[in-house]
Amino acid sequence: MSTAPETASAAPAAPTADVPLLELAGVGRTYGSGPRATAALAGVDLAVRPGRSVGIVGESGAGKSTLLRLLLALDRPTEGQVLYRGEPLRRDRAAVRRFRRDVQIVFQDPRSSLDPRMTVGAVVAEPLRSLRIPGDRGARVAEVLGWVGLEPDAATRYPAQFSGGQRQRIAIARALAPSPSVLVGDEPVSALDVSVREQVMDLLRRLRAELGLTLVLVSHDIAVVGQLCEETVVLHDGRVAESGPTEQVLTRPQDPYTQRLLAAVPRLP
Amino acid sequence: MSLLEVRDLTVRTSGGRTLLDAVSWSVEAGGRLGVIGESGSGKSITALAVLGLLPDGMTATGEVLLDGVDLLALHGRRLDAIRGAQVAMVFQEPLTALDPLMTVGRQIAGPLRLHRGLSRAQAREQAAALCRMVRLDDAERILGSYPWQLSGGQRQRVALAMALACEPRVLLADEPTTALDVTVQAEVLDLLDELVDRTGVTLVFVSHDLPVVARVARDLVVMREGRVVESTTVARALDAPADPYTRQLIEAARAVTRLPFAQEAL
Repeated sequence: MSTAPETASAAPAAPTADVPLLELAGVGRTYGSGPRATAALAGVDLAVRPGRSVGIVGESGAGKSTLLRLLLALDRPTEGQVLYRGEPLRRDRAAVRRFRRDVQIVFQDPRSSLDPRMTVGAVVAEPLRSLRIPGDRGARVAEVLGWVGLEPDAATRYPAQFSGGQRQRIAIARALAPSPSVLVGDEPVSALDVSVREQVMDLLRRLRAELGLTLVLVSHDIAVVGQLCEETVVLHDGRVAESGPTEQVLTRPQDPYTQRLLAAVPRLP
Repeated sequence: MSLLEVRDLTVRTSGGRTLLDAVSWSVEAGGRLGVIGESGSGKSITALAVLGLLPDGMTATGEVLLDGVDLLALHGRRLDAIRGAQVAMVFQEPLTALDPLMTVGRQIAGPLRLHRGLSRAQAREQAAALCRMVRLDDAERILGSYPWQLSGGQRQRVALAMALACEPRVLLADEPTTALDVTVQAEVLDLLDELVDRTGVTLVFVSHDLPVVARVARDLVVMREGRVVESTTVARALDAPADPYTRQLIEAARAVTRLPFAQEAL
């Protein structure tokens, strides 16, 4: 394999380092029609390459949630295309299941994202069941709980018996259970107290390094995105105001909105 | 002498749980006190207890002294005469603090008519002046609007206008910018800063967000699990925190708000 010469192969889109796992090409999403139509997103280009970390930052009304729904194949664009591994997203059941297995999400508030009536073990095994992933579920649950720093016996307890930070670890373990390539975080640390937030950010950094995960982080908090992501996309009024390597966006912001956003972050003297 | 002093304030639930355990702090006239704590620290319960707004089933003991008068001992009309007029409040989410069925104009005019006995026309005029004071341009349109027709930042400005309407001696703000976007938060903090300077109102600012508290407060009370762990000033806390928990909070706040790649250049 490694000796194969580089030729223009006719084989169907073999995954290579250059093909983005997820890509938005000229994507727009308009709600309603006629004179009352509202464009939540317009002309968005975005590529998430394998192994990279991409942060999407914006304030209320910027289009973060719409973009997230499109990236997760929970919605369809009214303009442009969403590509998964270089091809338009297919909507047949098998393809969607493969996609769901490969792209997992962690939400903001584990109090609402974890079913309080399910044991932690059942919560974490849920994607294995719903995505029909074969194998020893108990062993897999114990393994992913270990990755997030929880003991195997956590599986027999209920979410309410854990602190906010631990519950977010459970949500992360659930997302990792089906071995996704991409972990999408929707404000994954915003509901946590600062001391806990730091620990969960450390965990995300470590998991990314150890598992080679691709990370997409959607947040209103440019400091969180700045600390966790190699690339930063600034959304404003449904458009990409600015995007590029995080260092460039943070130190040499070109767009006036990015400059305003950076200046507004309250910091300790 | 302190204008507002909380002395051994203890709050218990009817089930016997202690939510606040002998909390004491004070703020002098014209002072700016920040009360900081994480979830479960009791900071919001403290604010509610000061205002006599604890939910049913919670009981407060100790003293809340406004100019030497114990607010905990006041009830009914005598408490109403102080709340809103002498001690006003701003909460985190103005959409729940404002009445959705009443125009903003009527809501701002409410306390003016109640506490000041202004006529409808006088109150209306005063409400427009308050709108200008909190930098709400287009006062006429704002006053005729319902809360849901305004942005989050506009709503919090309305809440500030209402709170300051009767020229209170103390402004108690509980997470007033937490629900706002960071760029709007910066504007509202600037405004609050300016209004406190201009009116000389005594500020008690309750928040989980240390950088925000440091931006507006001078004195600092650090709370944890229903107790005060340290009473200090913001400057001293940042320079040399005495309590290990305060130090931990400061380090965590520095860590999570850090913008990598040397932002000092900006």
